Formats: sequence, structure tokens, C-alpha cells
Amino acid sequence: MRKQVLIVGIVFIGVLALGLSFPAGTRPRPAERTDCVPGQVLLKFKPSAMLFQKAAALSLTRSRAVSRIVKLDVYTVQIPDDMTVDEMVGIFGRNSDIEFAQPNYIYRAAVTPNDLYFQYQYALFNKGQQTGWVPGSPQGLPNADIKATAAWEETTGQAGVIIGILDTGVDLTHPDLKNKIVGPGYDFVNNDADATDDHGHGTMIAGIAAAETNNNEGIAGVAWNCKILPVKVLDQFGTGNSVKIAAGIVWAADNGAQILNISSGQPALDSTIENALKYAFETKGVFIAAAAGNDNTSVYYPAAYEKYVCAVSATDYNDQRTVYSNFGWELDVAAPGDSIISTYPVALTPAGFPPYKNGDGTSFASAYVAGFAALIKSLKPSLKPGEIMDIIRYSADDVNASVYPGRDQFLGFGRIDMEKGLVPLKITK
Amino acid sequence: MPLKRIAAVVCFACLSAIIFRPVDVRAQDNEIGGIRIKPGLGVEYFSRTIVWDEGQLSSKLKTSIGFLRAEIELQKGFLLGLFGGYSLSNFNGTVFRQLPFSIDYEAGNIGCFFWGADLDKTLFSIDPYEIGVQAQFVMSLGRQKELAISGLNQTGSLNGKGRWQRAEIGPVIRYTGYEDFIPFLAISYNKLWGTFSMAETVQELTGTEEKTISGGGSIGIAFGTTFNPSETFNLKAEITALPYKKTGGGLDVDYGASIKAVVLF
Repeated sequence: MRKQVLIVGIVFIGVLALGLSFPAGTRPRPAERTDCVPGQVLLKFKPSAMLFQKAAALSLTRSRAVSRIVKLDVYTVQIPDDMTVDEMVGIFGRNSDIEFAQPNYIYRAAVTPNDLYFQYQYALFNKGQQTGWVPGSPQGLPNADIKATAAWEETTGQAGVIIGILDTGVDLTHPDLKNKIVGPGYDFVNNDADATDDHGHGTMIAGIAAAETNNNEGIAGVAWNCKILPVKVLDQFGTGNSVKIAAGIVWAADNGAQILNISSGQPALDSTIENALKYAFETKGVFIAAAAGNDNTSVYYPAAYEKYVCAVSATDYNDQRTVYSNFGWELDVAAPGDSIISTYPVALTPAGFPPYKNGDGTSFASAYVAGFAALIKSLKPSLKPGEIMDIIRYSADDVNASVYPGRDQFLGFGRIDMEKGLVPLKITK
Repeated sequence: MPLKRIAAVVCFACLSAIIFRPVDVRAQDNEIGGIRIKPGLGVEYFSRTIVWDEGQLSSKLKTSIGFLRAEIELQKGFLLGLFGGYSLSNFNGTVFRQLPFSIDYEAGNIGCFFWGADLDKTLFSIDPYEIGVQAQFVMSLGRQKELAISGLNQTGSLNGKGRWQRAEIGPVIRYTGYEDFIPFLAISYNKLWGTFSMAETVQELTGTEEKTISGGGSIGIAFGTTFNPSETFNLKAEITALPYKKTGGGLDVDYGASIKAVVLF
């Protein structure tokens, strides 16, 4: 009886082993995983493996070596058509002559747009390059950026998310913006439905937040697919007043903007503006980013209305606070604001020059935050504006931690980091 | 949900009472009103592809379980098994994108208690084959696993809780030509379902997301053998293969293995 049991057991294990190791050669190629080169496995034999052992390992598995990295002694092996990469990795892995076997993984570059001037946009991706096309432009510190290329792996935004640009208007015909604008907007300076920019500031803000991207032209915007709602509340000199700005906030909130950018301010409390912000934030669920101001003094209003507004100061290409940034405990975060290249109205650009311009200021820093907020809203539409603000705050890099650890009066929680705010955080033990 | 938990606890308590009841050693395999009860123990491992986000995404649920078992022979050829124990379930690869901060769970096993029951009924015999039907239900009770969120400028925490149930039923054919060795082949309808929830807290920012998970395949094939080398020892080993359709198209197979021993001490 014991002998019978032994024989059946051996047959059983043998059938099992055959079934698992060498499936019939007639089956079609099984579906492959998509993260590696189909039909290929990388192998490294142990130094002790003799030539005949290597040949046997390949021939017994109906595989053949197609190339070899000589200095690493790693072979690229073509596997049989009826086997998957995982199956072959498993089979080779059981061979005691083989040091390792692995799929030939496919590597992809982080999302890099093909826009002409992207190479100068250190704020999005800083590898230490020159910050402008003018020879002698300063070079930045690698990684002093908002980690945009990594974040774009997760999302480049949704067209349904609209960023209201409350500023000097937007060039509605600009080649890098015309396809991104949801409509002519509204002009509260001239009281008409044509928010064309006659100053330039608003067009620069719009370009930073959401220029058309990956179109072989101009610059990359933070929120590639989100739309722009132009709201002209500042005149051709870049000035406005409480009434126009408050009316613009309410109009933008009522006309579909989920994100607002206000890159203007003044030092006094303004209850009219505060009421408009409250309406947009609490009643309409709008996220609002605003520039802290450029006078190296206390944070200006409306940025200083901390309950409703994400107040933004500016850093430079070395992750240092810019000397002009306003400061105070109302600050939430910082973003790059120095040597920022962006779109500029075609009508205001001298003939023969491209409609793009460099600028400095917390205005531009605020536009990065507005774009970031639009991406968060695109990915998680149910979030409330306060929650979006918290994500932006808590994911910021505390770049001045060596001097002011934690939240401080100069950079708030730190320079924004879109990767941390958007890409899933890997949680290990 | 509380009712389910109460039922689970009651079943587990009954099972424990059966297994650990104070009995005369010689009476462990005694008949009680015509019913024979045998204690035992076992281990099982299975790797099961689970799909979530309405079938858009998938990952592997890898589970190792250890259990105590009571086998009750209700009548000749009709076995009821009750078992309970501890399981380690690995939900690595599950991504929560609706939390305020998206989370890619790679933190390994979540341990929890579970209970289950199985039935094995022989329907008829055609010498030397025996045809029967098997059914099993297993339910993990779930337990919170606390984790810290690192990388943000504020401290944050996560509470993950995974629960799953598995039910299977199907015919089995056994070869009874050997005295101590009974190979078998079984085909089963095998359903796995459950939830994996994650609660996130970063300062005043909070969010909860629950993934409804389900097994990628439903028809499994199991083969194995029962060894009966002595009157006091019985060993059942089984390998299960469960084909499933991959989310990107094509077929793949999940594997599982279990060993159950019934011992008369």
C-alpha cells in the first residue's frame, strides 16, 4: 500500500510540476503586462555557470539570447510566443544557475511639454537652467520648483474647471490662450462684455495658470486643460477699486469660476471686498488665491482675509524669499515669482518679438497657486475651497526651515509642491 | 453590520467551545448522539486578483491564514467543518484617490480574525469514484490598521480596514481506490468580495474612502489529496487555480494552496 501511495504521489507531483513549468507549446501568446517589453526577459547567470549550463537553460525553455550588456553580463532573452514574461521569470527564477531574471521594464519620462519656452520655466521644472532667453540670465538651483512635471503624471486638469482671472483682462486672441478662454468675460472698467487686456498683467497671469500646453508654442501653463474666465477689474494702468473688484468676484463666482486669482491689493481693510469673498467662498464654493503684495510690508488685502483667501508670497529660482514679498502670519504659501516668463498681449508686443515677457512679483506666484488649485479641483471635484487650501498648505515644502522651521511670516507653510499635493503618497510600514 | 459582527462572534465562540471543550482525551473522537467531532488545524494561502473602482483598476489580495478547525461528521459521508483563526491580508497596490491627499497603500498585511464553515456531502459512488458536493464560506472580521503619513509639513494619520468574504460551492470527484490516499478534483463557483476603507486625518483636513472590491474570477479548479495515514491523523492538501479576465484584457490565473490537518491528540 505504501508503495502505491508513493507511485501515485510521484505521478501527481510530476504532472503538477509539468503543468506549472512547461505549458503546452501550442497555445497562443497569453496577454502580456503593459509595463514591460512583451516577449523579453532579462537574465544574469551566476559567475559559476558554465557555457553549457547557460545554453541548456535557454534551449530547455525554448528561449534565445538576443543581446547582452557585456559589462553587466545581462542577457536580453526572447521567450517563446506561448509564454508570458511572468511565467518565464518564474521558470528562470527556479534555475539555480541564474542570479536573477526580470522583465525588461519600460521607463517613461516624467511629463515634459513641448512648448518652446518651457526650458526657461524654472518654476515648473528647475534643473538649474537659465531662467530667461537673454544671454546671461541667472541660473536656478535644481529642484527649486513646484514639481509640475511629476504632478502632470497624475492630472493635467479638466476642461470643466474654470479659473477666473480678476485682473487687467486677458488677450483673447493670444495664440497660447485663445483656445483656453471660455468666453469674452466681462469688463467692469468699461462695463461691457469684452475683457480684452490693455495692460498686459492679466494676460501674464492667465498664461501662468493655464496657457495652452504641449502645443509646440510659447509656454506651458500649470493647468493644461482647465479654462480661463477673463474678468477685467483693473484699467490700462493696472488700477481698480473696491466696487469693480467686488463686482468682478461676484460675477466670476456666478458665471462658473471654481477658482479665482486676484493679483492686486492694497493695505487697508475693505469690507466690500470681504463680503464679496465671503459670497464666493461660502456660498459658491470658490477657491481664491491672492498675491501678498510687492512692497516688503504687511500682507495686503484681499490676500490678508485669511479665512477666504490663500495668500501667496514669492520665491525665486533658488527657493529664496524675494526681497519685495509682503509678509505676515496671514501668508499661506509661497510660489516662484521671480523671472517668470509668460504670455503677453500680442497688441502690446513690439513688432518682430514673440508675445511673451518676463516679470517679477507675487502676482505671478499667486497664479501658480491658482493653477495648482484648479488641478486639485479637477482631480477631486467634491473638495470644498477650504480643503483645497489645506492641501496646498500642508503639501508645501518648508524651504526656509533652516532659518524659520514650520509656518512662518515670510513663506507661510513653504513653497508649493504640486507632486505632494496631487500624486498618491506611497504609504509603507 | 453589528448583527453580522455579533453572529460572527457567537459562531467563533461556539467553535472555540467545541474545540476546547473539557473532554476526556479518549473521548475526543467519540460519538455524541451519533455525531463524530474531530478537532484540527490548518493553514491556507491565496493570492487573488481583486478589482476596484468599478473594475477599472486591480491589485492582488494576498492572504495567509491559520485556523483551528472542528470537523463534525453529521452522518456517513456528510461532513460539517467549522473553523476560525487569524488572517493576514495584504492589500498592497490599492490607491485611494478621493481622499484629500491621495494614498497608494503599500503598507503590507492587515491582520484580523475570521471564521468560516464548510460542508462536504458525498452524493453517490461509482466504485472506485465518489461524487460529492463541497461548499465553503469564510468571513474576515476586519481590523483597523493605523499608519502615519509622512512627507507633508504636518503630521497625518491613516486608518485602514480591510474585510473580505469568500463563498464557494461546486462538485468534487474523488478516487477511492487507495486505502490511505484519496486524490480529488473539484470545480467551484468561487466568489470573493469585500471592502477596503481608509480614513485620513491631516490636522483639520479629514476624508474617508471605501473601495468595494471583488475577486477577478469566479470559476476555480482545485486538485489535491487527502492522506489518512493513521486513525489519529488526517491531512488534506489542495491547490486551487482560478482564471480571471485581466482589466487590460486577456486571461491570467490566480493560485492558492491550503493544508488542513485533523488530529486526534
